[in-house]
Amino acid sequence: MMNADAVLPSSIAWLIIGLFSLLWIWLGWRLGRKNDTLEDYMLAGRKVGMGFAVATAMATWVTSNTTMTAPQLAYQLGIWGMVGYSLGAVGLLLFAPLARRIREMMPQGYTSGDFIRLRYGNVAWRIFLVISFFYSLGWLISLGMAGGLLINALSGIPYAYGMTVIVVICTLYTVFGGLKAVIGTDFVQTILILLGVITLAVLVINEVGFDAIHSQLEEERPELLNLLLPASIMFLFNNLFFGVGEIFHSNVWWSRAFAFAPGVGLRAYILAGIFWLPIPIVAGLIALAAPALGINVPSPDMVAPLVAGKLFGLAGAILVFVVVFAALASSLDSVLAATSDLIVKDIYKGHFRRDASNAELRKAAVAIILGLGALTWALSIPKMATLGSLLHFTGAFVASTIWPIAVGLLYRRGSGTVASLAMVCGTLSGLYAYFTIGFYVAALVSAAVSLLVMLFALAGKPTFDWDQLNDARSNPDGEVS
Amino acid sequence: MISAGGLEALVVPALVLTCVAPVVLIYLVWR
Repeated sequence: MMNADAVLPSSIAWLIIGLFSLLWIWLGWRLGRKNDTLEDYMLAGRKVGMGFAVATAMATWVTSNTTMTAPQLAYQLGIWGMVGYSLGAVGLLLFAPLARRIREMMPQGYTSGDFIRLRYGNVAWRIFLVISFFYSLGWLISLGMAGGLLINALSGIPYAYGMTVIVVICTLYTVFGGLKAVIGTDFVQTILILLGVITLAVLVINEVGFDAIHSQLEEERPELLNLLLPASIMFLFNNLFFGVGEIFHSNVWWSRAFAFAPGVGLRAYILAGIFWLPIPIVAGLIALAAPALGINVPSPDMVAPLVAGKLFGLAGAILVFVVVFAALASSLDSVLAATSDLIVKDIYKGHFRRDASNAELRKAAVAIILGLGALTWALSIPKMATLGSLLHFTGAFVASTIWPIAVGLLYRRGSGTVASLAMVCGTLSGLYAYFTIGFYVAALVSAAVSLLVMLFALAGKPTFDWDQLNDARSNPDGEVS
Repeated sequence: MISAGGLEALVVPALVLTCVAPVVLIYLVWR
């Protein structure tokens, strides 16, 4: 499917894709050369310094959604849309103290599954793994499909080609370099994204100006300036809980907590949250300039590239393309690596090969990353809208894990039975709300019900012995006996 | 209803913070 409205010639798009693909794969290969052990490969040796730590937390949370959906939401929901989206930073900020605690309590832990298994037992572990894999799959498909759709919309390159390129490139450099490749490329990608967004925003302010943006919005789309838009306020709170649920449970963030050097996690996540917060607002401004520029927006998700193309021609289109390509890659590689870790440690070793050596696990990790890449490609190629919205659907699932994880990390109260009930009841009630009210309350309802169940845990006696988490040091694998 | 000044007061600090981010990141990696 070619796209007549593309803002960038496909020949230039292929050139950009080729250059960056070579750069990412070269970086992945180079950074992976010093990976001697399984810890090096899966957790970058557990010694990631402050600079790379902040960059990888930021870059992973800046997905194609941040650079494309934030402007879309600004265009659809107005001021609250972009402010609501920026509250995704709250998840990073709240996870900061937990990251420090995770690193201290489980210095030899590998995955979020390790914690749930040791803290709550096998039933809660398996419920958690189902939720986590469902979410990871949703995120992988959403990124794969976004890659194909965005590359097509921006450059006219057919969906299947664009999606295939982004999935293959990310899979290759993640296989070559493990978490080091993911984090090293994340740093470069963060700088590219920030410079791109800053350039576009400064040019919009200079070329259009706040007064022109405001007066045209007031005339054409006054609802976007309304601060009391109920649906937008509901979206804001739902987005907040969805983001917190995503970060609290996903091994993408836990693996970084384990990988950051001692003493780095708290400060790195706080700084990443502070620096991530303004990005959706700045990206949203670009969209709000559309009416002042007299742009006819055929679909809201194309509003940012259209503004860039209208204002700065080819250079603007190239800038948007580079930002989107970097944002896609910086998240896709992280989800591939972290999901592979979870499969290697919690499924392959935890359920099937309890005596597997680290050398065997290292080989398994490579095969699993390749398999996940192939699965992402296979599920993204049909371009099914229902699969594309799968990530939205996972809000009910992930929000149910917030309280079991927070209570489990901070208190000795709460058994595996209560945690399992909290996750199951939260998910079911969130799904009920999803189908009866709408997507914008699913995470909210799920988190609320899960909290009610966990309050029973807080009323009980403190029974858990923190030393049991140290099993992640002496006996990191297999079922709890 | 947010005014033009309100919009500016929301966006400009956000833009300044976004400009600070790459400088801090590069400094941290250099350190």
